[in-house]
Amino acid sequence: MFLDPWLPDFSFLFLSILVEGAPFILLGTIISGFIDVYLPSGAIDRLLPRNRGLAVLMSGLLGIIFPVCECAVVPVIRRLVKKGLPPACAITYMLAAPIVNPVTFLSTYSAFKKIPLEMAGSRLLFGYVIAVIVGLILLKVGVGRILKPRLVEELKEVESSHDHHHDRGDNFVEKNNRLIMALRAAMRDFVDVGIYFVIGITIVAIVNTPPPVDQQTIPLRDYIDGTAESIWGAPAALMGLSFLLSLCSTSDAFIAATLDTFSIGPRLAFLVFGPMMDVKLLFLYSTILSRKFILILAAGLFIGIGALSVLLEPVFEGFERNKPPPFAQTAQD
Amino acid sequence: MTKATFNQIISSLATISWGVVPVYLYTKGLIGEYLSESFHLIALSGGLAMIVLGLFNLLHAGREVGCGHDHSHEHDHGHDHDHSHDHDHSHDHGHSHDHDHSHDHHEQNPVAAICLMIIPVILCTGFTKHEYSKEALRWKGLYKQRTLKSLYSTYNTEFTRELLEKRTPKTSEGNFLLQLTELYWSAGDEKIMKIYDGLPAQLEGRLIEEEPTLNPDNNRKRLYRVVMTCCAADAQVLGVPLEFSASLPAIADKTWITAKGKVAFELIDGQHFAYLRDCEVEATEAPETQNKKRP
Repeated sequence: MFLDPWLPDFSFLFLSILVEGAPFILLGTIISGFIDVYLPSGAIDRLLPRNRGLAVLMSGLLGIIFPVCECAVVPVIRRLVKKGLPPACAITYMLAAPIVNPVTFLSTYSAFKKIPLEMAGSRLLFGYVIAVIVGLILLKVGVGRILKPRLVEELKEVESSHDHHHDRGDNFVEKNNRLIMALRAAMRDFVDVGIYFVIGITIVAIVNTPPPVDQQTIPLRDYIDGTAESIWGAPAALMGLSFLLSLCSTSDAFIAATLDTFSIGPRLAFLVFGPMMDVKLLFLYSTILSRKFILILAAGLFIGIGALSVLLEPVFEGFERNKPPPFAQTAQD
Repeated sequence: MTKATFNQIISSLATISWGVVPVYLYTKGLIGEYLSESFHLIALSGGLAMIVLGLFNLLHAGREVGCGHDHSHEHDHGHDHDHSHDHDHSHDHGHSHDHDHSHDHHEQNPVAAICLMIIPVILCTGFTKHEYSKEALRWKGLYKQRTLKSLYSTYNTEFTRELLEKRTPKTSEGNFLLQLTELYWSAGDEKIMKIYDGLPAQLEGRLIEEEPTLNPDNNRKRLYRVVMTCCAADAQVLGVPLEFSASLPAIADKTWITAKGKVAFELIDGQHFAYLRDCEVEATEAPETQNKKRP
């Protein structure tokens, strides 16, 4: 039968990605719900430096204080933007937080046993620099060209209402109602984001399921291994792989560690590009950003990260040169 | 029932349906097939939280609580944008007013929530067999040999037979309890292969038929394990051939077994493969955590 075993395999993969990612989305949307109800508009903006450049630099470090992976960060950012966080700062945080956070640092440190500090540190720095560069560029771009039109409209409404603000006070609604409102907002966001997440993971599951008609089709991984010696092809291929695999940033380093036919530059490109842009994120970002901007962002990240990984390859190569030769066994389990 | 209440109910059901899946997989002992061990508790707690969130909102679906957040609003004009919020606000904050306030947060419509959240989860839960098919196992690398040069570079001391014997437990019969992954990755490095070659070993994994082109004498089966980092989508399937001097065992494919034999290596098309020769196998229980956390 045409759909057997394709459909069971697809369903198996679909559910595996769903149960892995959904708890993180839930975490993000619960934070988002509470931000919606309890955080006054503009509060975040007031916490950041007035100088926009400094604000972007600081936004790139917020993941250290609020460590969230890429699935959780999207609903949080969506709400923070509505609360007045400048889009340049929001996107800097969005891109940096899945990498510049202690959980990702530790997992990268654990995965690369030979050069742990070098890889974890390089990844963190690489991710931070890319996120800040994007943020600084976005300071020069109008909000209307970044955010999706509906969000821009909502922002305008909030801004116009500020012009004739009146203080409602904390007693405006009962406190228990606020909890209901927060959880209601959280669920709304969860469903909003969940719909886009499903589209993303459907594509990821299809890519990872053997095609139903030609069982001899070569898996993506085998094509990618063939590019390991190419200066430009290797980072491009690994960024493509990270895009399609849509791994969680907290554990993708363990995959990167197995890609050791590749040099360090392409593997860092894999570790930086994946948490910033992958198939499921493409759809999650659609809840905040305009489609045109997402495409430009994806292309810019692909080119920027790829180019930087190639340019810095001589530096990365030095990491391994300074280490003793191999031949020692690792314990499994 | 208002449209907002209806949306609320559908969203609640969608959230609950997503929460039920990980809780069901966990309670049935199937979560290990889907996720690496480090994600099991996250999935369970996330699933429970989704159910609680969904139920909470379902119970309060009809309750009017306002839209909640701190957007101060004009009260001397009606908002007339097209995404209407169909509840009135009459707030007692000094100047009650009743206006058509409309900040709509219900971007999703109920049809999208049903079609994209509830139905796919129900269908996939019905269709999944909680494991890869034979075709998928093959596609994921069951009959391939990969090399991992950095595997042997994680210890600062040189790897020797003495070190191997010192750190590897033995069975009462004197077989070394090797991990299948350990043996798999040993192929490809001549120095390491010499250390393992001829070692009496016992492995655990699942049995499957050997690829016919790799089994001309029809005396082989293959032992495999699924190695995942995050979830089944990123899994690699690692397999090691088992060669039998007697007849092939009559054990069904995908059965968990222990295999005893001697480690050997062979060169096929310029690539080294590890295998176990003179094998004896017996069926065993599936281990509690069948998938290794890390390759």
